[in-house]
Amino acid sequence: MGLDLLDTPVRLTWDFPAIVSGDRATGQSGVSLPAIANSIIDGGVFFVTLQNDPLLHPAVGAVLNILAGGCQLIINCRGSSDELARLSQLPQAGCQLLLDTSGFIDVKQKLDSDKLKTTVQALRRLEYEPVISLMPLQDNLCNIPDLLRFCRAHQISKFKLPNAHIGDSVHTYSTDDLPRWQNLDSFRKSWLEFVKEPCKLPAMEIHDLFLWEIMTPGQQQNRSEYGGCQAGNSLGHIDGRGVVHPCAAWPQPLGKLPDQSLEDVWAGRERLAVREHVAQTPGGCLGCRDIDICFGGCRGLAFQLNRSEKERDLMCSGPR
Amino acid sequence: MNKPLRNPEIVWRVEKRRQAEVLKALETGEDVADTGTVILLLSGMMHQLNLIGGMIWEQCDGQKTLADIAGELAKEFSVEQAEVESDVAEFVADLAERGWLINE
Repeated sequence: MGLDLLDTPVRLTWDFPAIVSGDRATGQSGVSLPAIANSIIDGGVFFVTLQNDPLLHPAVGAVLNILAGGCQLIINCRGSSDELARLSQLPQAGCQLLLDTSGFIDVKQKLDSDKLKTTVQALRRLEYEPVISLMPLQDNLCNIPDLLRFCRAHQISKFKLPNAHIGDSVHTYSTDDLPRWQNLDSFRKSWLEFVKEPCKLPAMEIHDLFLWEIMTPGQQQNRSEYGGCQAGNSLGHIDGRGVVHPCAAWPQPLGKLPDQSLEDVWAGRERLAVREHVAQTPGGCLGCRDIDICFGGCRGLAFQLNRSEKERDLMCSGPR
Repeated sequence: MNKPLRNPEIVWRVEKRRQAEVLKALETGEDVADTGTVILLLSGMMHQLNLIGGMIWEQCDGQKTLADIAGELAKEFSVEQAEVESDVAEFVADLAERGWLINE
């Protein structure tokens, strides 16, 4: 039974508008976040991940009040003192807290475990059980085993490697920093060394198919219902201006909330064109024996950044 | 299972646009058995139910008996209740075995 062309997305990531100096008190971004939150609720979305320092935004309380009425909420947090202070003021809404650990890794790629431990303890005092999260970049792949050791030592139950954000002004890394297939060999070696250590791994949510393949060998059957890239189908992204995109890794305006409803955006030509694009096998995947397993992988990144390789996934070295 | 109840751990929704399309297609005699109108998310996996399955799913509120559900379905499609009872029972048993329905 086809899973394509849903009425609205099931999962949304939502970048809160950046708060520039002077806006912090008033939150004057020109965008009504509560109105966008109502559009999300009206659209019947199941999961919403709030990103880009949502806890620092003055409207976060109002947004949480609205979204908690119909969605399961995931909040990104860097673990700053301002964020912890805000969390202590908000009602514990049963949301999941994603602790972005990129700020706990220094320029020499050393993980500050002590600082991370202090932050986890502070969150636990506020009755939040954080998910340890790291957006994979070329330079930080080597930190994944360290983070999992940290999870083991501190009874963290879930570890997440989310997908990339590109095409916005929110994230500080360059698209050149994103991992490529050339980085996988060294990661594979360090991973194989790591798994020799006797340890119980936390539950892992790994967005990238090629990292997943390395980190969960023999688990192919668990992805048997994966139907390929979900950008613009069950997955969507809202930027800081309320503009809807197929995915955080596929910056392409499909419509704008709250001017349009999410249903109207998802019924629009732009969104349907994205799904038609996804339905085509990338030229760089022709003849590959695994195309029915990966379906071309991350189509957003491939479309934006790998057209010279006929839109093959950045992490794929070539047809198998 | 007498009064089936949807597993509260499953999030779900009716795909209204698709449901409308399926109902229209049904009027013209098209085969819509493989078209989903209700989506369910369970352990990160998305599943779909077709029109009839979705209608049964919607009725599984822990209050209605299998006979009540069959009656509603028979009314919707203008058929005798006896004609749909075994299909409803089979479908409910299948979902119960998967853990998607529980007994109230």
